[in-house]
Amino acid sequence: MKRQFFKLAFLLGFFALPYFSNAQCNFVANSCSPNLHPYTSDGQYYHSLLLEGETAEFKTTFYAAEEYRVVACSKDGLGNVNFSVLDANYNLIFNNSDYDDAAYWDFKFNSTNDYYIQASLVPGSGSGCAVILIGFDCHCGD
Amino acid sequence: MIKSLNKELLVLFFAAFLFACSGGGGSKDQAQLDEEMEGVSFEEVDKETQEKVRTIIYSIPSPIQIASLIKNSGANYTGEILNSPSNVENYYSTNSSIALNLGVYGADLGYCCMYDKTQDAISYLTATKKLSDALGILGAFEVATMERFEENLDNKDSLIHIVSESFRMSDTYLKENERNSLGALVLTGGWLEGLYLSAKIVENHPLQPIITRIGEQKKSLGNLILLLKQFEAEKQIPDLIINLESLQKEFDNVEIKETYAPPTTDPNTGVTTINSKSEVIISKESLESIIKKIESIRNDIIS
Repeated sequence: MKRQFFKLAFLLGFFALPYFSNAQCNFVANSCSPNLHPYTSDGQYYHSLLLEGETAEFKTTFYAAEEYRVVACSKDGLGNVNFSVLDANYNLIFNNSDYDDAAYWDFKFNSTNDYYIQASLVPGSGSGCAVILIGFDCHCGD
Repeated sequence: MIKSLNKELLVLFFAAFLFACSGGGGSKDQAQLDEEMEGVSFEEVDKETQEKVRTIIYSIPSPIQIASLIKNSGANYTGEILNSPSNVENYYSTNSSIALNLGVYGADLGYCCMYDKTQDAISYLTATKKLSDALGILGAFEVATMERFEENLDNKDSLIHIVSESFRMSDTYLKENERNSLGALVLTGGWLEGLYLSAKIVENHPLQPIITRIGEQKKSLGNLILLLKQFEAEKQIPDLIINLESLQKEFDNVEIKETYAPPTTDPNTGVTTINSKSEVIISKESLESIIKKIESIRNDIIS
């Protein structure tokens, strides 16, 4: 009886763990989306479950004459993700650890090119979900 | 016995954890790495960082961004180029068709909102909701979303915000439920429709900002193909990749020249400015070929 209980608990845990891990990311995304304001979400959700010391990489195209906001967050709320923006040749453009681990940063582009956003958890925070959100200035009121 | 079972459980839970940690973006395989690294010198890459990179996730521009550019370049609203919402009943045959056309209608919805065409926007929102429901997406286009939309019809900013957030919720739902390929198809449909709308507008009104933006899509197209290649095993995706690769061939004639200048950061405003400049060179003939190809791919999707 006891053994069957263990088996059942294991099976439930095995199948539910990925769900709960991902659900953790959704929670993170919802808690940090207000930081996009007044920018408009690009309609996408970028996340990665990371172990300490690992880096997730997001590749995107930023367009000339556009302004963007990059928001990064993790399980404990805002500001505990290190993120950097690199150009197509992996030259560093920005690193939030130079600015008190800022939870978001704005970018103005005069050229169109591919860029990389690399995100990792702040050392000492263990493993968890890193979420990146990208917003753009839609000039909606113009 | 219990001790041995505990050990097994521990190992299996650890395996489950690693599986969960694989994330939603798909892992970087060697072919992709090779492709991305082409033209990048060894010295330019922080080798240590590369080794620790867990996943690579591709981002595709929002069709609302293109709609905004179209509107701000002075083009008039041309509702007849949109995919009629009455076609929605034609798309229930496969999940791929539903997902692609969910993206198409999302782009059309964004375009209507941008021009304050609220009655058209309601029709597109209804079509979008039907397709979202058909995919079983929860939490994106709920009754409450529809009500919020109708309550804010006189506020364009709010409408754009509601649409963008709803699509982000859809993307979240699909990724969290291991349906990443459908999420990629929604993005593909939206991207293609945005490009199609731009193409149809410049056919009649050759507005330079829109032509430039069409040429710049060469970059995003490369990312889109890489995104879809992660799901090549899924039905209908290989055919779509073939079509997009033929579009990519047309884009080979587009040149994007960049003049480098170092970026500057203002810590007081929290803004980094990328000072490099880019120039898009696209001949009339190339533009025409690109437009023709976009039209053909888009018509395949909506027919």
